[in-house]
Amino acid sequence: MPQYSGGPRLDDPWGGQLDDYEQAPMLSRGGTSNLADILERVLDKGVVIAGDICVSLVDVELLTIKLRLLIASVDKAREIAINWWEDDPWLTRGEGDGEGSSHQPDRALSRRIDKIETILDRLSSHLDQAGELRQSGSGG
Amino acid sequence: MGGVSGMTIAPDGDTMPMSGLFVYGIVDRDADCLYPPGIGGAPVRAVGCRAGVAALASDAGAVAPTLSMGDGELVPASLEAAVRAHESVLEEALPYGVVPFRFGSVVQESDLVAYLESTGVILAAELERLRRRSEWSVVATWDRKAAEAYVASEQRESLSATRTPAGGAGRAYLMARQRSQVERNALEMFRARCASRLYRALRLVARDAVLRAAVTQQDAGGAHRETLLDGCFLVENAEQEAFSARIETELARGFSVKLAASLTGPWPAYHFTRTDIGVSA
Repeated sequence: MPQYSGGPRLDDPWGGQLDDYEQAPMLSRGGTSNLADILERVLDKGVVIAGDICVSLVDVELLTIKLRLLIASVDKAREIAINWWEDDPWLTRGEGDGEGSSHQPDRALSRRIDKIETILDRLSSHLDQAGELRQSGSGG
Repeated sequence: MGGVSGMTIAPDGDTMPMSGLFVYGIVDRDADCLYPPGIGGAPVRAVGCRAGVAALASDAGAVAPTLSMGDGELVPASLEAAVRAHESVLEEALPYGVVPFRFGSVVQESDLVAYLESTGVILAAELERLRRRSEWSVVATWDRKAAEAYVASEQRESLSATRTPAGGAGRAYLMARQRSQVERNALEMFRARCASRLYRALRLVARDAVLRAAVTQQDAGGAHRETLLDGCFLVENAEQEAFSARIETELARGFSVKLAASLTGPWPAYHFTRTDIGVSA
């Protein structure tokens, strides 16, 4: 390791002399083509005008973009009375989950659970029948 | 590949089928620039106002109805195309000066004109502030192991003062724990000093700076690299070389902890745009 020649070292981490430098500096340069870098900027920064938007995508993508916009600007959005997320079933889980509130993911999940439970009931009854048959076979 | 569809969200929460314009940013009304195609391939035009500025916009109605997502895609190809189009329009405008808008800003043309007329003076001032300046992103990391070794070597003298005196195993254990804590504290303090030193050095060359939450990284060689500094710097175009040179100088001085950095840009000044401009629209 090259030796520093100056300064109290931990107090001044950059206290060494450039003459000591033995390796090429590790600086990588990039343009503006990296998608993650672009997304981080264009979805989260820049001027947001009133009446702003949501880019509608299919299902989950819609949710993602909405959330990004929401996180970035919720206070300002409320100031100008944009509050669409409060009525969005994907983003809001209200107290009254009655007929009026459309929680599609919950309903879909309930249907799947019902289906699984039905299958389990059938399997269970099949197993019971098989056990009875086995008992009657060994008993006879 | 699909395009982008959208809907405007009205203030009362109602949704409407999308129509109107995608807005990219604010430029000089008389900027002599040829812009690349916008989102969905729609031509980009300037919607001007009396304050001397114009909004770059393209017809949102020209865009196809849905975004499609291929197998294994993290980002739908059509979304990627759309955000790249947004970015490329702004980059083309960057040399002339531009105030970037967030991706997906859709307004009716009449609303946009009203917005420009009411906010034009502020937008012109903001454009002037950002003119001939661009955003550069710097992510600096150090090698954790190298940093630990460096701090340990520098701490040797002070640690020798706490060397275990005669005593039992329990005392030795406690003293070892104490030493370990001292080393950790020293490393964290050293890290903070390094980050601060680097930030101050770059800030001297930049007009403004925004720091972001640092994320620990793992480099390709498997070494444990920690992010010291993740920031965006607003740099005069004429100072870009000086800014880059300053980073190289700092990396050279930080060789003991294997300092490295990535530099990307020039970006439109996304991180330095006033976010309150739009609210008054």
